[in-house]
Order: sequence, then C-alpha cells, then structure tokens
Amino acid sequence: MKYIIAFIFGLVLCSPTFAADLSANAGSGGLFALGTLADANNPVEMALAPEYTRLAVVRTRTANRLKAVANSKESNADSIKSALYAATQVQQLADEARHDLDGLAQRKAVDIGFSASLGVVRATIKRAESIYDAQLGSK
Amino acid sequence: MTVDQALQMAEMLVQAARIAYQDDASVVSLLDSLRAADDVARDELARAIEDANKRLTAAE
Repeated sequence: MKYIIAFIFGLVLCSPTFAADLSANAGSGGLFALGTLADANNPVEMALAPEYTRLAVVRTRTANRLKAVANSKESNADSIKSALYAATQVQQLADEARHDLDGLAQRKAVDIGFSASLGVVRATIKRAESIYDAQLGSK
Repeated sequence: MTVDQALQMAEMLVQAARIAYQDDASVVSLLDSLRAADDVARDELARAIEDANKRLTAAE
C-alpha cells in the first residue's frame, strides 16, 4: 500500500517538475479554488496534512534535481559538490521537521502551544524550500 | 499546474486512495498516507545523495 500511495504521489509530482519556486506564492492567472479533503472534524489533521505534503514535495524535487546535476555531462566536481551540499541540508531540515510533525500529530487539540510549535515546523520547512529554490531549483 | 495545485491534487489522491483501500489496515489515516509518501521521498533523496557522492568521488 505504501508504494501505491507513493506511485500516485509520484504521478502528481512528475508533470510540474519546475513549475514554480517552492517557497513562492501560488502562481497568478486562472481560477484556483483552495481547499482540503483532510477531515474537518480533526483540526490536528487539517493543520498537519499540508506540512507533510510540503515535506514530501521538497524531498522529491531535491532528489530529482540532484540526480539531474550529478548525471549531467556539463557538471563538474564543484557543481556536484554544491548540489550535494544543498541536498544534504534539505534532507536534514526535512528530517527535523518530520520529527516535530510526528510529535505534533500525537496532540489531540489545536491550542496555543500547538500553533507555536507548528510555526517553528513551518519555518524549518520554509528553510528547506528556500535552499532548494536558491541552490537547486533555478539550475 | 502550480506547486500549490500539485499539493492539493496530491492530498486529494491520497484521500481517494485511503477511501479505496479502507479495508487495508496499513492505511488508517490521511496523515499515515502522507507519512508513507514522505518515507518514500526520503529514501529516494538518500539514494540520490549516495549516488551523487559516488559521482563526485569519480569526478575528483
């Protein structure tokens, strides 16, 4: 089942590989309805589902770009080293955020402490996305 | 398609898979499904880092 979900997720990710910066706002133009299918009666799930998704997206895109750089004939040792360093940072930040998200998922209610902790997690994910955008996304 | 649209679609598809496989004990919540997706993404990035390290060693 894990791999079926991953396959579906991969299908979604494969088409817009470099559609927009990960840390940017939604693109302009066209009608776009914002919503979620997370359980509305579960505020913890509602709050955490987008963050888990962001984690998987930033990891997947980083892996794709790192592979592209490493396998490119135009790449030299310096460019591979730079991409490798950025990818390692993204992985570390994503792991840190994942650990914190898993902890928050154990909470039963969204209170001030939950919101504060979630803010810290979001900042961590944002840092990972910014590293991707600055060092991998535009290359 | 923007990243935001892709994110939303991913969540919808995971939710659909959860409904379709509701008898599968491994899918108990949306968050579990998203964790599974992140686990696979993490493994993929770890492999990419390992492969790039090998390439770098070869290039140097």
